[in-house]
Amino acid sequence: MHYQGFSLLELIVAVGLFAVVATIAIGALLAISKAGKKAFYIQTNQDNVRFTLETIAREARTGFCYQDTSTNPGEVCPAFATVNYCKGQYAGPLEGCFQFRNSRGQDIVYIISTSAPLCGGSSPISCILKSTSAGAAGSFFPVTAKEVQIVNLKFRVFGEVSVGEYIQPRVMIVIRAQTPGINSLSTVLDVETSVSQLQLDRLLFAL
Amino acid sequence: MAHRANFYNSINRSRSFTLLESIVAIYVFLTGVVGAMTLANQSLSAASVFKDELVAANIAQEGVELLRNMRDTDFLMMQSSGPCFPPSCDANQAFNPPAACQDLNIGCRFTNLLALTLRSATGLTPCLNTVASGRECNFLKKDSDGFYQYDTGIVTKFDTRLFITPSNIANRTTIPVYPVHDWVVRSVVSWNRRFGTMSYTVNSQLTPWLE
Repeated sequence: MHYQGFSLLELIVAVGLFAVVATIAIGALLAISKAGKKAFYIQTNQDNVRFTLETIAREARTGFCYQDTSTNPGEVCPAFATVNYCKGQYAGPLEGCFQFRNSRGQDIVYIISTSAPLCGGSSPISCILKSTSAGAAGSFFPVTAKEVQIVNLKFRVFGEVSVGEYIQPRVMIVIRAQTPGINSLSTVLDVETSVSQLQLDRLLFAL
Repeated sequence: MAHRANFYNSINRSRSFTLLESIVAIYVFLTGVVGAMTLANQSLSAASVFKDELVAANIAQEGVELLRNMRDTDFLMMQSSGPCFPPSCDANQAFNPPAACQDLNIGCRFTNLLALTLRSATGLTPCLNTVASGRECNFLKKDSDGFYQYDTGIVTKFDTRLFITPSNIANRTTIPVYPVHDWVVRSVVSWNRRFGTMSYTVNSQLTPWLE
């Protein structure tokens, strides 16, 4: 009687094939899950940057008295005795502070911060804070989520001087946001925009 | 023994897969796998397209904002010598973009985004290439501070063009000495992707310097 089982060669080939297919399949599955995670990080990053830029731009457009870290007191807003909270804050390469008066008369400050308690997360963290009362102690609250690191925030104000100058104020805003994640999962987003004051500067102060 | 012979025979007689069946089975299996892979891949590439679009949208918006700033600065400069009421204003100082800006085949760009004053007389530079000959109006550069500009930094893929044309609809003829028509503004940011060119356009309208 002739019983046919698998020969050793057949088994080796079969197991070998199975191993190859299994490796490819598992690799593909891992790639899918990684891609999904990365897409989620990118999405989170974009949502935060879009929201923040939109918030700042909309409010600043109808506001006035633009001031950044280099604006000297008395240069702007002759009609208001506003202290520039940003002056000297993060002077040098970090220009991450911007102050203006919004259409409701509040003195708004946006500033980059690495303070874990203020950002609402655990250290190391970097976020954008907002104050609606000229940076008074305890008035700051975060506008970006703790899942996103704000690596770079810069405001550059042009034409902020109101007396003896004929330049309509504008501000350039640069945000670089990064989601944590390791190696290839980390995503970086650089966005820039500008806002020009809506009201004519000199008509505003009747100079 | 007979038992075994029957068993063996029954296996032998059982129908195996035909070539067609195998092909169909493998095809169905592959369709499923490829579908899942494509989905994952596309969601990733879509996310990266959105990333480019977000950056481009903000740059295009910036173009419109800066033009408005230019219009306002021109107006303030006209006022600098005193109250400006016709005909005491110098019409040559009014917002008046160069001819290239008004040519829909060429377009122009800002001379220097980090300049203190943006004035229409000097702040706009004609693009070198026509729209038909492709991009390279001047690719934006990104400096070490993260600011997009034209002078220093790493060259990015973004080409920005401004088209500023006089509006025919709202021609205002009440004060004929001045260029008092509305300006239709198109700020176009385009960039190359693997398959073709993408672009993002912001349209706006600038009213005359004197209302």
